[in-house]
Amino acid sequence: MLRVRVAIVGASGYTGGETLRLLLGHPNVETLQATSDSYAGKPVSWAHPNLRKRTQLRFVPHAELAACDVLFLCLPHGEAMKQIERFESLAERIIDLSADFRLKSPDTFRSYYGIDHAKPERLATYVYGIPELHREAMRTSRHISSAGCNATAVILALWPLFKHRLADTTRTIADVKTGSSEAGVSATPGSHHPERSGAVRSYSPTGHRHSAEIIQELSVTEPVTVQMSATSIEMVRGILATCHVTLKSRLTIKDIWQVYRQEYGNEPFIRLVAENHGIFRFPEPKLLAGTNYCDIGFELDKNGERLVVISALDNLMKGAAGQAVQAFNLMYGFDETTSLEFTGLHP
Amino acid sequence: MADCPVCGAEVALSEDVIEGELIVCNDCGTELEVTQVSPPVLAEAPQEEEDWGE
Repeated sequence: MLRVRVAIVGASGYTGGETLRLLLGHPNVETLQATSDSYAGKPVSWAHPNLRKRTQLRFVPHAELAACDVLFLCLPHGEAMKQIERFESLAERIIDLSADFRLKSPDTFRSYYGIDHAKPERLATYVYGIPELHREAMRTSRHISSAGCNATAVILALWPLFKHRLADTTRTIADVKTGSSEAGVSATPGSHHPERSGAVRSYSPTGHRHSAEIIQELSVTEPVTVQMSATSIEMVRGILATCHVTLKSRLTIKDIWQVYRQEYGNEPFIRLVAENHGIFRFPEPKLLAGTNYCDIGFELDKNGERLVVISALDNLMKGAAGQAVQAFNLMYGFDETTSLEFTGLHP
Repeated sequence: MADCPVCGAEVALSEDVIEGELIVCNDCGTELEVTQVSPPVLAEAPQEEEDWGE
C-alpha cells in the first residue's frame, strides 16, 4: 500500500484542524507534521480539542518543517506566495488552501486583493482545485490551489448552466449566506459574541473576493458576469448560495434535471436535491456539517425563463479541507472518497 | 423502465408491477403512481389534502 508523508503548514486554524482530522483517519498517510508558531511544542489537541486521544501529535514551528511528499498550506491569504520557493523545495506536491494561487491573472489578483502577487510566474502552475471541473488536470498536477468556500458553492451551482450556454451571461446574481467559521480562528470585533449572535449582517453586498474565482471558472465557454452578495447569519458551519439565473430561452424543469444529471450524475460528492415533499426540499447546510457533499437544487419559475439554483455545503469541508483531501486522493490515485465518507447528522 | 413525469429520470419497475402501485423516483423523490402497466406509465401520486380524514 502506498504511504505518503504529509505536513500541514498553519495547522492551528480551522481549515488546518479539519485537514488534520481528515488525514489522521486516512489509511495512506504515513507520517504527519503539523506546524504552528503560536502553538509550537503543544499537543495539537490544545488547538483542536476534538482530536483528544485521537493523536499524540504536537505542533512544530514553521522553521522546523521537514521534507515530505506533500504539503497542505493552511496559511492566511498572502503568506503562501511569499514562501512558496521554500515550500516547493521541501515537497514534491503542494495543495494550497489559501487564495494565493487561485487566480490566473496577476492583474485580477491585485484588483481583488489590493496587493501585487509575490510570484506571478507561479500562477499558471497551479490547477484550480474543484474536482468536478478539473479532475483530469488535478490527477497529474503537482500543485493544486484549493477553491474558495463561497466560490465552490456558487461555481458548482452554476457550472452546468454556463457550460451548456443556457444562462444569460450578464444577469446572474448569487446571494450567499455564510456561517461564522468562514472568518477563521482569529477574533475580530465583528466576531465578538454580543455583536455576532443573532445578527443577519450583510458584509459584502458587492465586490466579494471570491467573485473573481467565480467569474474566472465560469467564463469557460464564453465570458460571464456573476454578481455575488454575502451575508453572515446565525450559523457556525455552512454556506447556502441562492443563485438567480435568467435563462437564454424557455426550458422545462425536465430540461434542467437532464443538464444537471448529465454533469453531476456520477459525482461522488454532489447530490441533486429538489423534492416536492418533506421539511428539507432543497439543500440545507445544517445537514451537511462535517461532510464533503455539495447539495444542489433548483426551481423554475412558471414562465420557464427564471431559474433559482440553490447550493449548500460545509465551508470547512467541501469549501476547504474536504475538497483539499479530495484533491490529495486524486493526486495519488486513491479512491476519491477515502477519509471523506461521513454522511452527516440528522437532526 | 418508465420515465419520471417530474424530472425525466428512468425509474425501474419490478416485473410484477401492478396498476395503482406507488413508487418513489430516486432522483427527485416524487411519489409516483403506476397508471398503466403495459406500456408502463407513471403519474404524480395524489397527495393528502389538509383536511384529509376530517
